[in-house]
Amino acid sequence: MDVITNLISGFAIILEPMNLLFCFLGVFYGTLIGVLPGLGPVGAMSLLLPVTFKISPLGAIIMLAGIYYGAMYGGSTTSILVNIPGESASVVTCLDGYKMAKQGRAGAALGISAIASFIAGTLSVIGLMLISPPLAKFALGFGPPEYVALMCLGLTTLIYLASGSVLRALMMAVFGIILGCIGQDSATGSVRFGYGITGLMDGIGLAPFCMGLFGISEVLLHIESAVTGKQSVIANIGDLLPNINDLKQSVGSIIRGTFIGFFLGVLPGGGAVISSFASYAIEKKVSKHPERFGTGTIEGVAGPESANNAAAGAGLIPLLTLGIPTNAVVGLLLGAFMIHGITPGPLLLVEHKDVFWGVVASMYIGNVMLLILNLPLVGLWVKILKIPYRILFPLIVLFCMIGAFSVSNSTFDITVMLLSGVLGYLMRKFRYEGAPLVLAFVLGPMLEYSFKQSLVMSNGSFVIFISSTISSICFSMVLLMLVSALIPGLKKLRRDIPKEETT
Amino acid sequence: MKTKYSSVIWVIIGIYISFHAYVLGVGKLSEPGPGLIFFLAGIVLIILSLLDLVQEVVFTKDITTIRELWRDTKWQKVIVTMATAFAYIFLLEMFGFFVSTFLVMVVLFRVLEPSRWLITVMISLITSIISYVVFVVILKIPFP
Repeated sequence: MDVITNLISGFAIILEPMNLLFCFLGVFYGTLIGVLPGLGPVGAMSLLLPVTFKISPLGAIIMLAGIYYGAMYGGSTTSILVNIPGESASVVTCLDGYKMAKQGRAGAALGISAIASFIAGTLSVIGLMLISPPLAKFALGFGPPEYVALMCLGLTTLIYLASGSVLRALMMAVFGIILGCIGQDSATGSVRFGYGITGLMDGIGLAPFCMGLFGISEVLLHIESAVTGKQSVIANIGDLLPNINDLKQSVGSIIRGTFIGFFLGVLPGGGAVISSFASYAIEKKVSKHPERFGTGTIEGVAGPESANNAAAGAGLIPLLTLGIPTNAVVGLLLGAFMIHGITPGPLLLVEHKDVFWGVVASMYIGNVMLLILNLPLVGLWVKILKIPYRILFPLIVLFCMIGAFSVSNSTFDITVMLLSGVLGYLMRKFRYEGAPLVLAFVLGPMLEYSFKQSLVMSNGSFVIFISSTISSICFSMVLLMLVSALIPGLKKLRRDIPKEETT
Repeated sequence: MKTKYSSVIWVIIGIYISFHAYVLGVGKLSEPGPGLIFFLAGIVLIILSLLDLVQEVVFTKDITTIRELWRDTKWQKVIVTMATAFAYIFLLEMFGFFVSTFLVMVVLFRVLEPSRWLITVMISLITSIISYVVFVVILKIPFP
């Protein structure tokens, strides 16, 4: 069995002390930012991006992936104890989780969400491991036109699922492509929109850009609406382990949640938020007592929590096999790969076998670490929740500035970061989405390259983009989504889909 | 809720981008120039924002004014925070890491709720010392 031998070699890599440490730092930091309501995964990951420049590519990826799935665990803690989702994939967990906590069953809710997350996380890694190699083999036959089609499909799905107006999300995607392509042209070497600034030669830095767009803007929004006074944190947690009855009740929900999360997670544009909502809806449908949902039923916590974790794992499949991120968080992971000179895609499994299997193995280990971090150490996270925002936000701002500086040791990147912060703040005020902007920003250079290559191949004819089956299917789906978003009757359908709000 | 005419800014940005991209050189479709993608994106941006503008002006019912977007918010605090953050860039060049971090922290810790000066100074001092040790001594980031 090829998979088994590869996995064993992956474990051999991850069990090296340094890699274990990076994995631990990743999941620990992930849980931390998941717990803190003020900072989402994108902002938090970009904060740590500069740190990863100095370590090995594998260590960097392991750590960043750990933040990504770790945040899914941590987010539920805040939902259950404070009734504020720590990040957007935990919104549904508030419904029943907080009610359970109010009834004195916080421990059971936290326990089942950690257990559900663990089972779903682990199962999705197994899925990732089994699906990726054949998918990558299939993708080896893709040329530039297919890549253009896939990238357009990914972007369009994200836009379709954006919470605001489709038109504005499209505008943001186009603007993202423009910002992403600033800098040297890969073919001619001429600098575009550089204005003679050295810092712009290589383009706008991903880390300062995202830190500003998601970190600083979030801080500014919190400051202007700051409600002074204390949040009520439920401190009495009770028994941490769910009892046998709870477990029996949750088994079905966890399994269904895992499947839903996994399949929605693989799809472009799909993700943790939409799958947690879908799982909640399905649990309510299958349940013999749907009226109990919303009053503190354990299935309402187990289902969505397993779904969002499964989706997080599955979301890595398109990145690792096709090189195409499906949401803004995974987009940042792609950025991290590129910074280290590794291009994710079908060749990753051939050229950087150790990275792929190391990451897969690290996810098994990371899930175990998260279970330990989240069950016995839940008290620590509760304490952190009590830190007032007036102390927290100056630290976030300071770390963003230091992080931006350290990217290339120049104050220019701090300026970029702060300006992106202002941009992000204004965008949210005027209801423009950040997620399509970031994804397009990351994809921009790849899109430009493949687009130009295709045109050169076809001698300037656009027919090349619909000449293969894969790309014509992708483009028809793109068209279908865009048209359906604009037709009045179908608009409602889109509005009813729970929205991915990546912050 | 949407604001009227906010898309005008995107039309202007689109025109600017596509004009400069044209100057950069769009090349031929069979031999794309360095400005091609910017030119196309700029044109698409213009079209989309014109459509959005039409939607804002003609169809959107719950229009809000810019003034209303900031009503009941503490926008002064946002300005103070951003001004302090921009000032940090200049302070860094002038006074180096430790002093500028300390000064900026003192201001930021007081933005939301002014606590007692002694407490603010103490927290800022602790923050500056810890971050100095971590970032300058251990991680060796070469601040000016």
